[in-house]
Amino acid sequence: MLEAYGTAIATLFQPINLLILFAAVIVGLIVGVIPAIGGLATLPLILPFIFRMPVEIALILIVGFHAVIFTSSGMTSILLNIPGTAPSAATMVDGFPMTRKGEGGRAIGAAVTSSMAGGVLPVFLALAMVPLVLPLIIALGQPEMAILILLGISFLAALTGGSAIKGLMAGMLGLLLSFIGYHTITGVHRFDFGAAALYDGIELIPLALGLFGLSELFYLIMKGETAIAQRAIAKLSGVMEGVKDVWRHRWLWFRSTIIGYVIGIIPGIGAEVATWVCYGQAKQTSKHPEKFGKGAVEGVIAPEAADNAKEAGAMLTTMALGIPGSSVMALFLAAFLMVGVTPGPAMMVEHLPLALTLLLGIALANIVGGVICLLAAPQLARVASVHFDFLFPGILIVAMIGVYVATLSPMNFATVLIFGIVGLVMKLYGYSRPALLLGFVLGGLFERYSLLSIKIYGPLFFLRPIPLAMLIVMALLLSYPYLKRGITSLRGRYSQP
Amino acid sequence: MKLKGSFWVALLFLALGLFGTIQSLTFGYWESMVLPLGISIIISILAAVEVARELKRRGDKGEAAAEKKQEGGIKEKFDARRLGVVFGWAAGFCLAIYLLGFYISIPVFAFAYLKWRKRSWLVAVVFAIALLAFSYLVFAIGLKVPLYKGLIFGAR
Repeated sequence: MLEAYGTAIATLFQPINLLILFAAVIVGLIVGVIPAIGGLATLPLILPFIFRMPVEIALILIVGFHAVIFTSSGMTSILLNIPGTAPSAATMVDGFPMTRKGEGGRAIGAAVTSSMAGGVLPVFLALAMVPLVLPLIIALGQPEMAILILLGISFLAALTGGSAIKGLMAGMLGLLLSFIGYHTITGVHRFDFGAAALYDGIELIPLALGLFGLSELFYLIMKGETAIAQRAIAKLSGVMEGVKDVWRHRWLWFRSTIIGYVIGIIPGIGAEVATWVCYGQAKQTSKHPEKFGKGAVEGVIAPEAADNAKEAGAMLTTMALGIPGSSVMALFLAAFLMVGVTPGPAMMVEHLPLALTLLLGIALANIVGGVICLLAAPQLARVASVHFDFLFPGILIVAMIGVYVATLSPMNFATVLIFGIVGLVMKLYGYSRPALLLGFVLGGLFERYSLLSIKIYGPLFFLRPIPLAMLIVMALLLSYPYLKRGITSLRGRYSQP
Repeated sequence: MKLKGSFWVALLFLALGLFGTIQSLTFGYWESMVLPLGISIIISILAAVEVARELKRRGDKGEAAAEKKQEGGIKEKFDARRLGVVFGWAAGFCLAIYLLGFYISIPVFAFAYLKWRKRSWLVAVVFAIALLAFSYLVFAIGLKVPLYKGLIFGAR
């Protein structure tokens, strides 16, 4: 084992491999900053080039590239309220209000540090935890996965909306929207009204851009603001303050990293869940939950730690089990196969030094990417003080290009506009936009797991022990504010003389 | 009793839920029907509760107090006319891309918007060119993604 570690370190630190890793990190950081262009959109562009490369160089290239996309994608979420990648949407909830308060530098400092450290720690946990996580993966069948998705939506509904009822309505609407289009199992067209543009359903990126990015622009302009930042942007000291924030909230960071890592390991749950679950637990365990959504730095630290940590987890599942945990990991799987390495249990035996090289490569890429982002943060934070006269056309143009590049369909411009208005209405009347997004993202999986569960276990599949326990937790979570209000009112009534 | 936005939004959810319920019943197979139907029914029930709560709030406390009691959301006043104008610009830009493509729409939109905002000719021209150059260099050259050329110019 020690020999394998030695070989891995020696391989990674060969000058050519280091050079490739640095170049990949730079490109990955740039890709992450561009709104809506994630690894899923850009990794396929790289795959044709690695075909003839030596195995180590090819895999180090894609690992270095992908590892830092989530580090820099948080920046657009924080500065412009546009998710650089879909999972970084959770960072917007508190990152953007921090920018509005003139704390953009601090938010970036916290996000990058949390992200960087969150990407390094799981690498060292990865191999140690294999024996522990395998039984967990096996224990989660279709019924558990289906109810876990509902639990995730309820969690967000209860924590990010004006009320649990409104939050749950938003989450359910997200699920309903995900059902639009051709149903692959039966061939039935659902809710598409015969419109060809809706046959394949609504695309995620235009929906997310409209719901968060455009609606926020509409809101600020409607309010008569002239720039995103209401106060002057702080300098490097602000960025360093963010770095210190991560140390101050180190237990939150640690918890979020572990949660993100474990969720990343579970195949098929999706990267978006990790960031939202961590945001939810940060709010629930905070001494000041009322500050969340208004610019709490904990709301930035938690999702950013999870965002990078889940990648190490997903990578471990892909390499150790040969099961890609996400669409991006499916591309990784393709890349492994392209260069002649078959992921799976055999890889951890036959190609152990290579597996270790890649895991250490993720750690090194995160460190390099994090340092670059921290150095560039003060300059980047200035974007928030640009006048809306310039920012509005700039954001709109980049967003629309992003939508087109990601979907290759000009019809999706209308989707962005429609969800811009939907997002604005939801914001104005206290309906949880994150719950809608999560419902939409996980709707397809929820339906698949639910239908399989019904076929295998019957319509009462949710009465199995683990799903039932999850449903009880969900009911308690959603009814808690109402129960609390009822108890307080009863106490008040009986304590009066 | 004048009903305000929060009531109408809840009513819209109720209408969506009921519409989803009725539509789901037409899907034929149970596999395609069961979840949309279940979710639509849940939305309808929750929305009905919310509508009832809104009505009760307004009935009990009067309009002003009901606005204050709105759960979550924003309680400030806004300039809806300004929103209409900005939405018009965004919609116009989207339509322009659809018809003329990115390479024409980007500079025209950026220039026209800045002139409408009473910026100088020089600033408007430089900004329009800069945005076009950025889009071309990053996407067409850097990422090798050909941008949409519009319906009139033969699409992509």
